[in-house]
Amino acid sequence: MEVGAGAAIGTALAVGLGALGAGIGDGLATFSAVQAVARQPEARGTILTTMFIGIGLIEALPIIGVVIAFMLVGKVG
Amino acid sequence: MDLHEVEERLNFWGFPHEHWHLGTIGNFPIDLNPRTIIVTWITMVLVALFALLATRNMDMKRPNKLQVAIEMIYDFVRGLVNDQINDPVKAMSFLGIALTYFLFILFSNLLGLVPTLTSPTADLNTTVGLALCTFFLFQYYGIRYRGGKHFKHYLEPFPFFLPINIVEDLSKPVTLSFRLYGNIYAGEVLILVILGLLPTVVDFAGGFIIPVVWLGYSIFVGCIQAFIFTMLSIVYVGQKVAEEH
Repeated sequence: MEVGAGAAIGTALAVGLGALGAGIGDGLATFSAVQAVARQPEARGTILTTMFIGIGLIEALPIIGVVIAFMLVGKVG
Repeated sequence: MDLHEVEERLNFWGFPHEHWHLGTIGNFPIDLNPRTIIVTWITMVLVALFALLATRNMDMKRPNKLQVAIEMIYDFVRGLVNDQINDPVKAMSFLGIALTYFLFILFSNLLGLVPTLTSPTADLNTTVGLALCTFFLFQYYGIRYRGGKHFKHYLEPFPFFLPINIVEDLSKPVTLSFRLYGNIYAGEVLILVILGLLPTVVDFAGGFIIPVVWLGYSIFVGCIQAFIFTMLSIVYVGQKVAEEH
């Protein structure tokens, strides 16, 4: 397999699997946040802040995957 | 269009490409990336100007707009610090650096969205520098407020947890730096990709909606990443200086 073909497959795999993980993780976090706000609407500010912190932590590794994909895209072709 | 071609055509101010070489220490060459350094200077000047102009002739009854803005930011960061660190003396001693992190990272993330400029935080060197500052800060706060018991905490709850605790402590600056770098750098590369696609997307007014949407999302991401970096630094320091329960 040539370097270009491997790089193309690697790019797509990195971004795709990262997006899958990020989607599931963010979905679970937002689901819990919405449930918590539904139970106690006056705690909305704290819950929203905690949700944003959680999403920031979850999205860190998929974003690293996207940066690796950008590094590989240069080697395609 | 190839990404490198797009970058070349966007290099409006003519930032030099090769690194400034400042000599070597032992075997390490000291190279500075001119683009990052010049834009960092611009960010420093902007943050200093913003803080200076907002705090001249402060008036409690009729504040001007910049003063309201900086008061909102100060109240927000002070609320964050007071929520995490329970002791008011320790919280106030950390407020300065938390406010600096927030303003500097916010301004640098948003500076990259100006059409011909780049972000200083789109370079791994800047973000690793900031994350190392946080790392040394929480070690310093632990030693200053806990003394020798700071090192005893690595053996809690059982002595064989020592490698786990060390890896957790080392992973904090790594994830902080890579999270900020990845978000901002990926946003910038996607701006390049979208601009490179423009000749093939649409040739009249409709072709400018997609870059504008992406710029809007990048403003949001810039603000969120500044907030998360500040918040996580405060949480890490709060963990180290927390009272025993």
